[in-house]
Amino acid sequence: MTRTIRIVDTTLRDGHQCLWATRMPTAMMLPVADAFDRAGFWVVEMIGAVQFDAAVRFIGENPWTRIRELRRRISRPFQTIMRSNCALNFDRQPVDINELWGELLAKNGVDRVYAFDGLHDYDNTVPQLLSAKAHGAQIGHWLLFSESPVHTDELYVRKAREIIDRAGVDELIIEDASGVLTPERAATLVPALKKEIGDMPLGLHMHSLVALPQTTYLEAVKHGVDNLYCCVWPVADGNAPPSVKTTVRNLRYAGYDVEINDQAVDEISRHFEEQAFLHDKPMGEVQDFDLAHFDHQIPGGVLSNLVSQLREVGLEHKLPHVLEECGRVRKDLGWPIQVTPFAQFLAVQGTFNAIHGERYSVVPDEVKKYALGYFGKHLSPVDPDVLDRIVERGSKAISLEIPDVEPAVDRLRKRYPGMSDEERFLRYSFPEEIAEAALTGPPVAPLPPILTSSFVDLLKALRNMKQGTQVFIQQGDVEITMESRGG
Amino acid sequence: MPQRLKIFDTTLRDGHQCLWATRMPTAMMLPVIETFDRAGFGAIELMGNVHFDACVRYLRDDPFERMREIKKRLIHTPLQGFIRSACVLGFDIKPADINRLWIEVLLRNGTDRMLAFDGLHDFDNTAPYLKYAKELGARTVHWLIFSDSPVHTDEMYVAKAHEIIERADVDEIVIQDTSGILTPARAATLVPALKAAVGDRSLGLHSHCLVGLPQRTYLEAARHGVDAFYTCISPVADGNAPPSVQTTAKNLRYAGYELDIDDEAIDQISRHLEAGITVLGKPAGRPQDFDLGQFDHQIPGGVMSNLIANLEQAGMADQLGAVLEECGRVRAELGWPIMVTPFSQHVAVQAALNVIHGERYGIIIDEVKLYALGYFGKLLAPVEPNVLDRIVERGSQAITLQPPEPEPAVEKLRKRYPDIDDEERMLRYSFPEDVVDDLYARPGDNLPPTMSVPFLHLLERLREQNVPTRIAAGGAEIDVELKPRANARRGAA
Repeated sequence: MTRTIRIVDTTLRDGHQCLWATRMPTAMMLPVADAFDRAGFWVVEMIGAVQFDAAVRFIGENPWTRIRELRRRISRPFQTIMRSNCALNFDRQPVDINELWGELLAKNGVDRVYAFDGLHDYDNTVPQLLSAKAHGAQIGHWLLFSESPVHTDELYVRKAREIIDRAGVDELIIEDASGVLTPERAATLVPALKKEIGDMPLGLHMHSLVALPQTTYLEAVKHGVDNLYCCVWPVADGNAPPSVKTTVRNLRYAGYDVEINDQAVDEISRHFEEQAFLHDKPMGEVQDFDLAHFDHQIPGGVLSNLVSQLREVGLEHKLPHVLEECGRVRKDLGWPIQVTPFAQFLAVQGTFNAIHGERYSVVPDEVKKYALGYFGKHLSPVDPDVLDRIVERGSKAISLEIPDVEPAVDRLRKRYPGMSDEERFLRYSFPEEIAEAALTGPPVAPLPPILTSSFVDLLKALRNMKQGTQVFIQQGDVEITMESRGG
Repeated sequence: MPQRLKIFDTTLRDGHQCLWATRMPTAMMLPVIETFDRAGFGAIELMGNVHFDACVRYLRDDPFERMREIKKRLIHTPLQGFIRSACVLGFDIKPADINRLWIEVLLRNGTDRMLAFDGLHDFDNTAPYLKYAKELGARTVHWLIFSDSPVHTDEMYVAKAHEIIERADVDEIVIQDTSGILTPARAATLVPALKAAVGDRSLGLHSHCLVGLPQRTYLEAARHGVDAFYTCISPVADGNAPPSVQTTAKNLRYAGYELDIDDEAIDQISRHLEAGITVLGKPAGRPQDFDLGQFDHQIPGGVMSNLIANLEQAGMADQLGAVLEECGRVRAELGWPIMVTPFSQHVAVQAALNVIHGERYGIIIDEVKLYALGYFGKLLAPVEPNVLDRIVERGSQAITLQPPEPEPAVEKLRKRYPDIDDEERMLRYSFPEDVVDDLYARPGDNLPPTMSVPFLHLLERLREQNVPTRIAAGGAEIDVELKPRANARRGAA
């Protein structure tokens, strides 16, 4: 009998997070919500902490409204992802705040509430997962993949068992933020996990940074992975997860059933292609293999930030040196997974080390906190010499003993008596005026003004051009570089 | 000690063949040949059969002039040319004396390394001529053309490597993967097997980026003993073409191998080619994603783009999927010929006819009948008997069941054209009279100063937009001053 492989779409969560700095407003999603409903996705992953942050700070809209508006239009199960014990922040939050976060997500129509922790320290994720479960959500956990001496198949098997035992999760997902899972490694990792978790569904979520997903996905499903994460091009490939179209074509060719409605996917694809052009957003491009990436394993979003920051200070030529140093810092710090927030910490420390000449002469607070265990137990110890240096050179305001975090929900409710927990939660997580602006603005922020429709005709004309034809247009200080992908 | 690997460049041969329909004019090559010479390549591959065709028919560039002018500028780097089967510039087997004359002409005009291949691996078609080239002082190379099929096993390739070494004492063997389907996993068995067979001889690998495999396969192949890699200079690399030397060098160096590649020289050539892309309106190669379908039909990129265009012209673009599937079946029924010129074209056309006419093998193209009867050489696996019967019965009755022995032709050719050199004689032997007349009468307009037609079309559209706009194309700039109406933004179509 032909096996059916399920597709989880994460365009609305991970796709624009990787390619558009998470700046896709609700108004850009709604016109294709209906197509998402018809596209045959098993699950639609559509929000996470980063999306809350971008919605409130940069788009100026209320993320709870996004969930409700999408919920009204899409009947497929929704999925979210919670980052460690940080709720909407980058440092640890009180347990009751994290529990409230899980509860609110479940209550607002997110069917599947999942969690991850870059150290695989489940003390950081279990309370809010149990809270979400108590409020009716299905729960799951990421196993974050990394290529390192610490992240062996045995570790992942042990960690899978631990989270099943501790939280009773319904599903596990191999999350490869750096896109470094090769078909060869999948051939050992997947069977090992399958053996441990039995009939529990096992997902795989990769990124196209070094072009591995297609071959690895095929190998992984052969060994028992049953659901795969994709995005709809042009919000796919490049730093993002692979294109759903390419993935489905390969899966079908390999003889699997996939319940995807190609026409609905095309509809979504055309919409985002047009939006990308109109709103100045890059489209994902297929990448080539890059061995150097395996050393530093920096995810795409952090990498593009690092490059632009080095450029700003005129040190772009130092990039290879900085990346090499990031690889060394990763080792010094005991192989933390290159995922938020550790990927950012490592990139900053790597840059300081490379630029100041003397390693660890400047230590960011976050690195000192990490080294002291503020973010959780390490899988492998920090190099002792490096630890000494970090403690000595880092801020003295950071105590060697990790302070307890005080419960905060009661105080929060007292402070804001006449409002919902959803609103209170945003006021807790953001500066007052920013939260106020997002909460009092229009429910769905209008899209910024776009080019005239006659320019859209121009775009269509370009589409019919020979592949690779490049056009460069400058108007005042605005430039357009257009290149035809071929008719 | 770190292992040193060689990089062979094939931008000027395979790069533009795969991406620009072989239309790079000599005038675009000449300004960067000195730079090529100091870029650190083991050799530069220049002329294949298709290049003579494109030079003579389309570019009106004298192909021998190209060879000589380039050879003149290459002081340190050997030049590689090649022969396809025993066909000279045609698709059918030519007499032995013509093939020998062809070797003489190629060597005389600057070819240092003579490479040969035959899609059936029938070395009767190539061994005598490579031996002859070696006698005349050339270094010789033979392709083992990779295919994923029940016939093309590691054992078969090992046997074929032994055979060609024994028969022609070739200096180097190259695994040629025209379809770009050699996976790292297969390389891990094929390369060690071949390495044992070739002994101290160099073992090269030449892949294509159709489904994104070369980088990982090159790394795996290097690990197992391949010592020479074929690449092109981006932007005339990737896509249907071989991988980019920039990416390949970066990965190989990262893996700890040493290369003689001069990055600065490569950058210089790369910038030159980029300008050419803008001026000539040619596409740049891009990395491709993995596509499992490619493994079934294994159609090379050039043939694929042709097939699509032909189906579109016939209003049957929607039949592409069916035709590709049928290609896979035809390939199996014909005994797994390698999907390389000319067989890839034959298989694609026969499959298209099978689909379009509804009845399979209702119409037989002459080339398929010739192939099935062994006109092109011995088949590695027999044609499926029922299909063979149908081909013989339905195909042209003018094709005799026994391939005729080709008659010697050089003396006749010299008598017919007494006052010209052998170079021109070979062109007159291979092309229609008026085409060769035209070549010598009207040399090509090599670097058209005009922009491509689509660009003019864009200009027209822009004028309609009423937007004040500055447009730049390559080095040339055109200013169009119009009334403001809209804000422009960056985007891509």
